[in-house]
Amino acid sequence: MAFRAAEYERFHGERTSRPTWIPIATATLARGWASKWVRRMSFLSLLMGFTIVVLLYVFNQIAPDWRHLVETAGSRVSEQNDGFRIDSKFYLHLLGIFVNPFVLILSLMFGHDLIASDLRTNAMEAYFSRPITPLSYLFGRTVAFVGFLMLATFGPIMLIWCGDLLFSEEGHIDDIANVPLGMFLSLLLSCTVVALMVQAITILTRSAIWTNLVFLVIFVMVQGMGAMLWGITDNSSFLAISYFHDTYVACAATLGELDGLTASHASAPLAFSVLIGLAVVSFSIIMRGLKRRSLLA
Amino acid sequence: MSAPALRCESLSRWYGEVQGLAGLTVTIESGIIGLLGPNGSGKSTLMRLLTGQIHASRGWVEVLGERIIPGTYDIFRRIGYAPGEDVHFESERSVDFLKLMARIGGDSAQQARERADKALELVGMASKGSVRLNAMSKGMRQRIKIAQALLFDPELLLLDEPLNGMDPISRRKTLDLVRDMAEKGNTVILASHVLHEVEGVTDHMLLLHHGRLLAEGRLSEIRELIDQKPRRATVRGTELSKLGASLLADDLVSGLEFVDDGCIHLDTRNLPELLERLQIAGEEGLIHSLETDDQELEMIYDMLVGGSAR
Repeated sequence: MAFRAAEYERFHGERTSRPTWIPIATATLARGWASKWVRRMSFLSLLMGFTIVVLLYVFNQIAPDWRHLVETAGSRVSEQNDGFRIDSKFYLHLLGIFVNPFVLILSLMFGHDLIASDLRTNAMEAYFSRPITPLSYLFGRTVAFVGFLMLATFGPIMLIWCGDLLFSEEGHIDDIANVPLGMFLSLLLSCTVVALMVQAITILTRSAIWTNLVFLVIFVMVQGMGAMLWGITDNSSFLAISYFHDTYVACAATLGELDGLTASHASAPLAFSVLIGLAVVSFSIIMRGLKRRSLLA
Repeated sequence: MSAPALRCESLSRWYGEVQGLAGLTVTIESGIIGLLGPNGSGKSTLMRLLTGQIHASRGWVEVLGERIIPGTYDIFRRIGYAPGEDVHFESERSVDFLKLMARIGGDSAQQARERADKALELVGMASKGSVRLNAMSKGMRQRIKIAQALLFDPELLLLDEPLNGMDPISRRKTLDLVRDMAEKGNTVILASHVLHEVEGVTDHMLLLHHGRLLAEGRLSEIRELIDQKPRRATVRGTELSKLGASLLADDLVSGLEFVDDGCIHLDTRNLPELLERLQIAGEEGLIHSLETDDQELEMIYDMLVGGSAR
């Protein structure tokens, strides 16, 4: 083995005090992107968005007034023709395609091992011997994680929004102008909640497999439980224990579509409270775990 | 006058009911300091306290004149730390790991690359930058850990069992590096449970036992005591009876025991001279292998705590 004669030299470079969460976030992005399944899932969601854009284009080519035709047909079928209009409510329905499956899958594939692997491989001991705070560490990890989730959820929705706008008549912008900001804010909240939740579970279990199992059980269980309790009590507030339901309600609120919510939905303040509550509890668990990591080791 | 590299007063740390470190009061000015002690003696606990990984249950510690308290982070710009535990990402390239550590330390991406390359070169791993850490031997990962500790020319370098898993050449080169650093004015605290590793680079040591400071001072004073104690060497080779007789005649061994035809145990109170003689015999082709017991540290403990150390 070639071993250069070791000679220590003083370093005369400059050091900046740029935020330490940036390299953590960059490294986390690189780590996620290195996983071919994370790449595949991200591309798949974007591809699905792109496919819908292509369909919009094709419809436009075949029948330029297809939007009007569909709307008219809808009003003949039912008095409530909202489902046949491409407005901000249409984008709410996209949540079922992009948010529910992709958030779950990407969390299972990418987020489950972020902190667990750092604890397992003692990387944290090296990290925290540098001038980085637990908060910066967590922020860096979470920013990257949320970035992936947003790419797979907000990304395709924005793709569709751009296509919709591009192939629409004048004036359509008024119907969908609030979508980008509204979707961004609500999805940012809901992706942050998931990112923190997964990391909280991972710091408790310290195992990728257990994190996935716990996460899956929690998600499946609360979905079923919410619906069950609602059925038994006829109180739709119980639906708020479901993350996906809260995400839907939060998106409806930010898109100004609360009027469209029926009695089969939890109230917006309750949905927001649950999401924010989950984030706060998860954050506290993570911070406590990071500060006590040496005891956990 | 610059502040001492390390100053602690009644520094104590408990893990629940388990005592990690108890009432450590010590001041270290500069140079290389050997931190000696068997596993569980509190070496790693002290290292973690110095790097803010854990906080003191009682007492305080100052590093380079700055008190380490919760929320202290800037001081870690001046400290390099190679943890005792194996540190690695499961699939990251060593150069990426070093770049990340450099960027957390305040480098731009370009600077981080240069610094990572330089650190790799310093530990003789320049050609291994693209090797993934999980594909490296433990000894190679040890060198990467040391490289990350050296990234920012730390005023205080903390090395926790740095030579574990290293081959003899890497050990020697690493110790050269440590010596070199100290000569340039940096302070190095070298934790180990193997006396001769530390002895090779410094005479100044702190001896920990069950979380307490058992001894502090010059190794040479204790070395004199050790040399009075009988040591054992195990030799494998040919014509061992002739060799044993010759060593007995020269009063180099106080006892010998033939294990079998090709193996002999030699008890001596003068290990250095015995080793010289055995080296000569080895050059004549009479010795195939030689092992000496590595119980010096245990001996010291026996002497200092009257046999209750182990």
